[in-house]
Amino acid sequence: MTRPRMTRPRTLAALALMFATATARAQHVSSQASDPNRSPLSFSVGSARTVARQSAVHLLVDFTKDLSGVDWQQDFRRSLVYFTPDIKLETGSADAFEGITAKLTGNAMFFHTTTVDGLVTPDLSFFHAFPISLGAESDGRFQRVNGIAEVGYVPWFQGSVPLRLRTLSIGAFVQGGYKWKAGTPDSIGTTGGKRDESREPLDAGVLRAKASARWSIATRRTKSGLGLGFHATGDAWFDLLHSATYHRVTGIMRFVLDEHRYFDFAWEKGSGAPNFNTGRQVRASLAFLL
Amino acid sequence: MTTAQLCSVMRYQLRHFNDEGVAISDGTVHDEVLADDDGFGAANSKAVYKAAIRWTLANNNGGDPDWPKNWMQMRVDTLAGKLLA
Repeated sequence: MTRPRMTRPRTLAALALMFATATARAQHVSSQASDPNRSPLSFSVGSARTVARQSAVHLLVDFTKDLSGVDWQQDFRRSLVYFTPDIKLETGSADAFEGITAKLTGNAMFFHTTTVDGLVTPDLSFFHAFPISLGAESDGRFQRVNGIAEVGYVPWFQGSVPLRLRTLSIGAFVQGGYKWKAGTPDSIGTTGGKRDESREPLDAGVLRAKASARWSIATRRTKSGLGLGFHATGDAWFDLLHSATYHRVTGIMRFVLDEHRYFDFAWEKGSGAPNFNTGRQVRASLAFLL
Repeated sequence: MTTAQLCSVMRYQLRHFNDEGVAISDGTVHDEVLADDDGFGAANSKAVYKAAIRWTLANNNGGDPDWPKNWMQMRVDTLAGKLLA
């Protein structure tokens, strides 16, 4: 993939039209949601231009099944654990980043308890969270499939720090699994953002350490539903078997149009797992929450 | 367990996830405070809050009732009433 050099999307006019159309249809909502990404199903389509200067249509479908009322949870005296499925697909034309992850994600929590109005309840001012996931990650064409198990530690301190620090989250993870070759050798030769640039060989084990940080800030939404937010994320992987490091940095400016639609301008450096492509990508997309 | 008691617990727990200075009351709508992308995977404020309330219900003889699909759009007192109905 040709390296660095962001360029402005050539389809800016089309995006502006999409933005205007969506804005014109904005409906009145009274809530001040900090983030609209709460629907069981969201669909995002827009235009992206990669550093390889090829126009690319970016398609992102993010299924986040919230099985309210039926997701599995087990309670203990001072801890609990729950699980929920998570499927994410990212693909696009030309050399846009692409990848698919399908995981059963969960979380084990360890906490102290307190009594509120006569009821015993977890004290969430500070607790220890251990995110767990078990599933598969693949390139968008299913030519390579990684079976991955992940266990992490996230100190949840947000309940005991000043307001401004509560939007920062940090975590450390260990990922282990196996990388299979699912496609034919001839079909693996890909270019640009689709290229697997990791040192992880096919048909071999995978063992990584990962450190992650998230930071976000959002304005309160107006009564018409409009809002503005900024999200920044950073992830670093260390390949414990091949002494390689990978990273992914993203910045997203989000214009919330109403409780069902938002418009993202995103800058991404590195594709992350499973390809660990090192290219850059600029993306604009309009998302609909269904 | 009464609806008023559960509302107290919900207000208490929401304060731990309030990073925007939202006034927490029985009229607070959950999606004003909670989100599902503010953490890592299933360790996000929406999932953690729900797990904590389920734990509270189970450990105070409140059972494990089904949650309304649109509970994030519900006020504190509305959701408490639904869960104890």
